[in-house]
Amino acid sequence: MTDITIGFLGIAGMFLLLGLRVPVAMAMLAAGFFGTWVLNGQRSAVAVLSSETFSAVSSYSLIVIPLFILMGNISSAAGFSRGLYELAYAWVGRFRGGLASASILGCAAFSAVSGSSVATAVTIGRVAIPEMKRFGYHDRLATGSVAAGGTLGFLIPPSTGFVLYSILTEQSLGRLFMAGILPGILLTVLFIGAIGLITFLDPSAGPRGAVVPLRERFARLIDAAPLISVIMISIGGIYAGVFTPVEAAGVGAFLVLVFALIGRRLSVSALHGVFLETVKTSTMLYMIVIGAGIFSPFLAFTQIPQGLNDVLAGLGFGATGTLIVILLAYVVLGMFMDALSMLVITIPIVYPVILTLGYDPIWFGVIAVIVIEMGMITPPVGINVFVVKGIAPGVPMSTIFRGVFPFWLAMFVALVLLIVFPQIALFIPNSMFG
Amino acid sequence: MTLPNENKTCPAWFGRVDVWLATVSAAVLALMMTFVFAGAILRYAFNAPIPGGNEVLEMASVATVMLALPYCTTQDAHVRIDLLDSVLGRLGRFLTDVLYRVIGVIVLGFLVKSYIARALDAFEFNDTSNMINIPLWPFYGLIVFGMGLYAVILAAQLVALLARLGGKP
Repeated sequence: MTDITIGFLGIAGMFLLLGLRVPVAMAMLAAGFFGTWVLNGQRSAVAVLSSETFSAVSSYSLIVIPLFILMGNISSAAGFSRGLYELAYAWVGRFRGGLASASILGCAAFSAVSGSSVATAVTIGRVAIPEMKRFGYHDRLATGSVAAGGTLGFLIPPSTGFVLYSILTEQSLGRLFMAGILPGILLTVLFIGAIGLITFLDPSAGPRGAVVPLRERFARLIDAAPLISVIMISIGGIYAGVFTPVEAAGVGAFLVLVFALIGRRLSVSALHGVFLETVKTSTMLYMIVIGAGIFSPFLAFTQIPQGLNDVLAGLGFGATGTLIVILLAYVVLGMFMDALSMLVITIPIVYPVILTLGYDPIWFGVIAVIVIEMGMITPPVGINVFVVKGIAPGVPMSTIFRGVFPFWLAMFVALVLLIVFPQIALFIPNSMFG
Repeated sequence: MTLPNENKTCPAWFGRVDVWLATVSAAVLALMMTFVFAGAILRYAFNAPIPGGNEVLEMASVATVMLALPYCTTQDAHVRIDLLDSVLGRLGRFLTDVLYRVIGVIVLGFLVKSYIARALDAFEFNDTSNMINIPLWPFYGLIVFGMGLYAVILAAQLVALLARLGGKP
């Protein structure tokens, strides 16, 4: 049996385990471990298992994961995120479709403290959906805007997607975070544009909300100031070159905690719960990184990435055609796999091909994250749609999926714009880091 | 025949050990957060970086992850793809629950065994970190502890699954 055959069997075995409900981390760990064993013997397999585990759990750059998760969890538990939505509501709620736009803006702002799309959708959705229902918004627009807005959490820094991409590809996390800013803003604008179009075609879908007096609008700005200042300090700190991503995460989490304690927004038991939730989620992510760390060397041993490269080159599609084939594969995978799994499983296979095609690895990180975000709202396994269904149990799943479709198209437009104008992603990191 | 499907099962004898360990893990994380904040302030405001600060954080990170791993497992927080849940049926789900635990115990067994040897070696040869010479064996030991407990929980869940096979619904 050739190495490539063993490689394909290993990949097939991993997908089989995933289909049989074995956790993603364990499926990758087992496929990588036993695959390496078959290829290079037990000694080599145990050596990879052992070294990759320690290198993952003692990785300095991975410390951003628990710290940024902590920052998002504290913000959410302390009610700061509600302040972000209320601020957006005060300023844009009076326009047609304004509450849905406020949901998108609230999601975008909360994404700057949370790297999770699910956390973003839950946090903003709990506040925004009842409010939209109160003003008679169509279920489709109300739930669709929150499900789509939540995906911004995976793109706007700090993004879990970028952290994992950075670990898997050894690219600079600071560069990736900076590369996510303009595409995040672009996507936010496109989402709001989609809402404008929906409510232009059918004004009853998103009636105007209450007009908030100017004085109160500024009062809400002051209420949201603590979290906005933390965002400015932590993400702005990375942009200004003052903080490394780990420092930005630590400083951000510390400041949010201080603001929450000073404002008496968190009880001791709530704080305990926030920390437990944080270590639980972080450990889950670390285990996935360990699994990917053991699966990736196995793939490298089999030389499948090089083989795939040759196959794709042989198709004669050229660089752009090959990229489109890869992105289509991501869209299809997104129908069945969740974002994290898709990222850690596909990047070790696809990344060498992307490098060979001559694409910028930072730019591809943004492209990959956006196309994976599309999977979060694509049926049948759109995780954000399930999350929104949990918040709005009375709304049928089919209605939510129909509701997210215009936003899916907006993501597609963003993707096309990024492929045609890579500078949208690369301008900030290149101007900062050269 | 009863086909139990209990991913969230915690062995009775385990009590609330997972929560206590996760609480210690959380305390370590709180210290890490404070340490990073203090390090950043010292570095930028007073031009006095903490020597070897990164190594302290790296080792603390091992503790955070390994102490929270049992809690993550008992809470069934490991991401899985449940697309085929309805297709598999109860028997299928039961079998896949068993499969996960069998594979998990085997792979984790190899991992724990290798780390026991690594910890003993590190202790014997006094292996330390590069900059500030933190002994490595306690952190290898933490991996033995965390991954070992993960394996033990999976094994206990496997026993519970098999024992309840044929039991009362």
